[in-house]
Amino acid sequence: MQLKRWIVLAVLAAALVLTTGIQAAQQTNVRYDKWGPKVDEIIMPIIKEPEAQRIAFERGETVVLPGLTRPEDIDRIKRNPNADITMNLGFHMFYLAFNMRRAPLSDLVIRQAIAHVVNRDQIINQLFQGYMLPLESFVPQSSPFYNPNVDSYPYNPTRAREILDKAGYKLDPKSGVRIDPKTGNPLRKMYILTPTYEVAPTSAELGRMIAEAARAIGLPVEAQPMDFPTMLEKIDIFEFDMYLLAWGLERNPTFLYDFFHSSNDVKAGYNTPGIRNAELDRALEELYYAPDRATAQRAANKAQEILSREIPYVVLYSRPYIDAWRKDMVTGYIPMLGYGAANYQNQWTTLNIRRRAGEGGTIRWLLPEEPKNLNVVTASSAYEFEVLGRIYEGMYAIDPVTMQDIPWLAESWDVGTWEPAPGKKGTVVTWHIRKGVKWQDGMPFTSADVKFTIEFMKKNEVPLYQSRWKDIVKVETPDQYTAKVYFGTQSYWHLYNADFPWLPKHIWEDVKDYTNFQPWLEPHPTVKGLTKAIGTGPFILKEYKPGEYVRLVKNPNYWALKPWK
Amino acid sequence: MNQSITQLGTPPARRATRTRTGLLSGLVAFWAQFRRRPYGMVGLIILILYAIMALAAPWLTPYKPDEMYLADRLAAPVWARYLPRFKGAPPTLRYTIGPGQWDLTRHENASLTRATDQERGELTVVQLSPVLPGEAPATAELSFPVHYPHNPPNTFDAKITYAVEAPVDAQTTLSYSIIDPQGTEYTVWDTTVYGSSDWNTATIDSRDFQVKMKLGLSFFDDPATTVFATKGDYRLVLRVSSTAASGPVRVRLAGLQANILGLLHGLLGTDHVGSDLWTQLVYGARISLIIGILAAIAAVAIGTVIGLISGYLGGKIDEFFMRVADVFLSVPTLPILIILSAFLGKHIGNIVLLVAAFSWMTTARVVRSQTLSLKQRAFVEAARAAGAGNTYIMLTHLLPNVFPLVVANTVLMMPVAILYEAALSFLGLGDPRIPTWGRMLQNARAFGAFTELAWWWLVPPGLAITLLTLSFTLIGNAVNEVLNPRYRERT
Amino acid sequence: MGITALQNGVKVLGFRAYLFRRAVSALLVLFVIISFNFAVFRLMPGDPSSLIIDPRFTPEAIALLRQQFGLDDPPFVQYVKYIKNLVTFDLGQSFTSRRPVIDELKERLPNTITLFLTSFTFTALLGIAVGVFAAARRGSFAETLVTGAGLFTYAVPTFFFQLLLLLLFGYYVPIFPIHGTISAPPPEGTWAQLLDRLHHLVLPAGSNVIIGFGSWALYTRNAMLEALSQDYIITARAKGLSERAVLYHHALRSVLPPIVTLVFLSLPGLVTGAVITETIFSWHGVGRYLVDAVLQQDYPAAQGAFYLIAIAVIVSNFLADLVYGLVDPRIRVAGENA
Repeated sequence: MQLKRWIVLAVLAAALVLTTGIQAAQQTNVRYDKWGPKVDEIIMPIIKEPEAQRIAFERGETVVLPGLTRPEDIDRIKRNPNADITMNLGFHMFYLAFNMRRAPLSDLVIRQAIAHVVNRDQIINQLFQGYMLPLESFVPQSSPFYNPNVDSYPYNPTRAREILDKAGYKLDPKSGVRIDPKTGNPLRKMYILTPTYEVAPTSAELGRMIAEAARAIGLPVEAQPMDFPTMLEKIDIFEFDMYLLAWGLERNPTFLYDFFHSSNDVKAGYNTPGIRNAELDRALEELYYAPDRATAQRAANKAQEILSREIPYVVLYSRPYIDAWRKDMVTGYIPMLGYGAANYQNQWTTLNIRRRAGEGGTIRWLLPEEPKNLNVVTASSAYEFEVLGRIYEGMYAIDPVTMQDIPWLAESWDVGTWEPAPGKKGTVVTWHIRKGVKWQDGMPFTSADVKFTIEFMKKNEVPLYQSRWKDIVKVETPDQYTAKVYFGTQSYWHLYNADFPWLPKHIWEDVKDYTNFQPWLEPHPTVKGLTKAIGTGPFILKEYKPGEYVRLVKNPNYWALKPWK
Repeated sequence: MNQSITQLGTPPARRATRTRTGLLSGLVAFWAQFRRRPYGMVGLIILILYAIMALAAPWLTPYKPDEMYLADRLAAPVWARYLPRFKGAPPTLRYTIGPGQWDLTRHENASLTRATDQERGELTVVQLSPVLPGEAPATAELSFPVHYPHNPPNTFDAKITYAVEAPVDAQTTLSYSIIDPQGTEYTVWDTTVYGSSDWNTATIDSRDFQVKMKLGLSFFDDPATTVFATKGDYRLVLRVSSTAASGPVRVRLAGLQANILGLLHGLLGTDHVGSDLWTQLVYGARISLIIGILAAIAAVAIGTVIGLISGYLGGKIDEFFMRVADVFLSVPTLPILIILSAFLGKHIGNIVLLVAAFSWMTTARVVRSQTLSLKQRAFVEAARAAGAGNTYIMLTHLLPNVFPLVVANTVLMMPVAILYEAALSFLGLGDPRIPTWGRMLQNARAFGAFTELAWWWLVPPGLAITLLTLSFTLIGNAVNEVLNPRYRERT
Repeated sequence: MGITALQNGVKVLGFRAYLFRRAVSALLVLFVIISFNFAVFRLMPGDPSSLIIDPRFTPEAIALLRQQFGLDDPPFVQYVKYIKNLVTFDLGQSFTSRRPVIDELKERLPNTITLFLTSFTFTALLGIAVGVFAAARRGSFAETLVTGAGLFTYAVPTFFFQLLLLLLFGYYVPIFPIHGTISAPPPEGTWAQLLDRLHHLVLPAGSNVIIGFGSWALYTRNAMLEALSQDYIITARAKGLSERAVLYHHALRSVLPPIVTLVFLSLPGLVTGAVITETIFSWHGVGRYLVDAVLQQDYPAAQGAFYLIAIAVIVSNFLADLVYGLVDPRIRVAGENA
């Protein structure tokens, strides 16, 4: 018992040191301006082949190699004397999910045993050459809602065997398979669904490793790589025992509600493990409809504790954002917790990056995929947002270190309540819009645009922003610089649901079919040289040559060209 | 000479005996013709070499094609040590240190003995005497000398399996260090055990962030380059110490496995997961031959059946099959294979089937036209007059006569099948579990052969495909020349 | 079937009737391919909507998307819509980019055609020239060399050769660009832009030419040799015409028709070859679009690209038939008894 506790503590300590060490390194180094940009032009060459990307970086044809995930890339780049590598914890988790609806995985003991045979260190070293962070909690370390004080299941096959023995799952020495004490029969074969080796070689290999470790303690587990869509379909209809997948998450922990609330235990719902726990449901509801942050924090902690006890998932690791920069060519790239230095959600790098040779001029920034549609309403891939994120802006920004909200297009905001119906409570978010913000064509950004955007999203039932508009009842604009967004329900998180990528009313009000609208292909109705893809952001889309490059130029009308208060 | 083949089976009456001896003598005659064609013989010799390679694969290489981390990732071939870029690069070094191989370099109230364990074999046992409170702990230092005359490696690792037998109040510490020639000690792992512990295996890996932290290195540094920075004599050191007053402490060690993953490996180096490229090349010959042979046989079988039926029965059936062949001939083969392989799943059997399904048309046409001329011959007429059924006539009269044609077609079809498979694998649509040459090329392209300028990863599989295709083409052409005299005259 | 003449005892179709027959056959093939295409893409594993779904989408959002992509209609309705759309070149919207597939194809088509025409022209010219040269020097070392090289390039898988060139001239001695059709951004000025394009074309087109010209040369050489053994050539020689005149005026002229036919017969292969060339050199073309779409399981995109390629192949087959029929009337054989 003593030994076990010691190991638990040691693992926890290591994870803590790791996390805090990286965070501390960031905090001391980060110095950034809230104004910019400091280059005149960004050329984004589109290069898809990994080898061509590497060589482009080495030859200085791009100043950044964003989102490094492959160890072979990292190993090569880190030996490049001109390269500076930034690393940030990400809002990401990779997990092994259990189907708790059917035996034997409905038994907590079996789930515990499997959790104990998962060797995170081996996985991370062998499959990722060490470039992953072990994660056990259901909220990644990068989140302010991360709770490290939860039950832990360190790698310990001996302990796993003990747990099973104690619960009566005796090993049949002949077959090497344990006997289910309830039925007296050997345990049935269980399968881990993974994508194929071709699509996701590491996931497939991971499945094989975990299955092997489980077999070693007498659990008949087999990995089953399959076509990705088939796998998702099987998960949707609960035809699985276990599967391996990753989530790309966000700053706010409301995803816990989506993943584990019993109301989402429906076919094609997010609660794929099928966990139904009244105590957990209460905590999740409290989290989802929290009136304030403290309640949310408390509820999130509680939910993580329950989840670690119940083990619907074994959370395995979290991917840090690793980006490489040509430090001999540029400076001013800002590491940001949860998103990395090169991510589009990190507007600080966009505003601060500058050439070593001096302000202004052109930098080249690799785009690893086609940005495709460049329609901010239908955009779905991160690569589209790599471009769009520099054109469109939101009401608030996120501090790269503390993750706190920073007023951006809104100078300030109030969150209040109203009565959507007698006796019911709803949230009202009031945006106080910054004066002097202009669209890239020179028109002012006003509350009319805010009202238009929200109504546009709601009227067209835009799927991408469904979770944001679904509870919005109405928008009021008392004056040009105030917009009140009324929600039918009450939640602390509605502040974030009231923010959208804002659309210029004078362009989008003529759009009939937004799904086929390609704003970058249509010239601006009045201003020559612009397209309809205009926002308020620091860069203007000048040119997109599919397959070749995107050209962004500095927005001369940008509201934050100079230091501001 | 050539006549003997075209004559086959002409007299209908004595068909049964004639066919057999005819086939045999035909083959002998064919061989006599074939061996006089130097290109054909060269092709045959190459093919035989490939066949040997495919059959003898397990004897040509000690590894399996998917065995990982035989050396470091992207290790260069051993002969690359003569290139300036790889001068002094380390080979893979593996040490399994068992009882009797340890030197007890320092000890305080400690001794070294041996024991045998049923499961784990020979054990090294460190026996630590009890010490009084306040006294220095009992310690033992076990060393193993390693001579390292190479440039720094990128990774090292070690595996220690141990168990501790001690009183409840004992606190036993184990640590593993590497001491460099200057005497600097790098402790890369330690652990403390309270009381006894069952068997445990500690895996130490230089890529592990905890090792980096211990050495004060950052996330992107390689401990291996720091630790093995100089050439000379190193020591691997295992330290055991304990403070226990109530009784002796016995630390049992089931060997220590220490590895330095080399940057030079084998005939052709390693790929991006440290698998042996030579092994993949050798096993690739198997796959390619199997795919080529199976797909060609399947395609030619389909083609022959359709050609026979179509040519012999004629009429509507013929019309139908020839239309179908037209459609298939008009289908862009590679694109449809790409789409269908994604649809059917990336299984090797599917690839064989698909290639066969889209390559039977030429055989069908050739067999059909041959059948058309054969069925006018007297012996077929006679058989029909004698009341023989259609199937019987096709099988016993027509098939043996078109057989040489079928053989030639099969040989010529093989390179087509092999090339399709290679192209699909290369595009990422091949069977991911099977090491084919196409997949080697794809890996080379995706995982670093270009930026590392590792031409030894790219050239061998490509050349292997080329030579195999060439050999089939040479053989096929020679066969055609023998069977088709008109062709011979032209060249 | 307007049977109009008897030639060498074989029934011969009138050219118009022949043309009609081939056209009907081509249309039939097209119809079969697109129906097959429809079936395959409906039967693809998994629910297509699961591919377009971001993990953060709520079930309601998924339902909305399914409806937008018409995935909820019964199969027959989908099929009728599909055929109608194909005829009008409305190829639907790509799952991954959410753009009309036809727009994406239009963008890529000029690149594919550029690459195709360049490769094709130079392959044919070089192949024919070398073939004639080899035939003229029958028995010389040069001829053996040409034959050997032709055979070898036939055996070398195109993608391997292209990878080698890429490694050599893109990485070892980086004198050619390794991806794309233009620099990002291209230089100023029309001539500079043209040169930039040519610079990007050298490796992909050049590799196609080197791999492709061998079989052309062999074919031309064989045809020339056959022609040179004909009576009229012997007569011409006997008349004391110069070797040049014999070669170029008589022999070459007589082998031109079959070579022209071969030109058209080789079109489908080249269209297909674009898939691999474009993938290796990151050429923003239709072939690579197909591969990317299949790998990302973007069905509408894959379907659209395949449709375009199928049309290209069928049209070039038809052209080959047409030229064949024009050049050699014996081909217009009625019935299938040749």
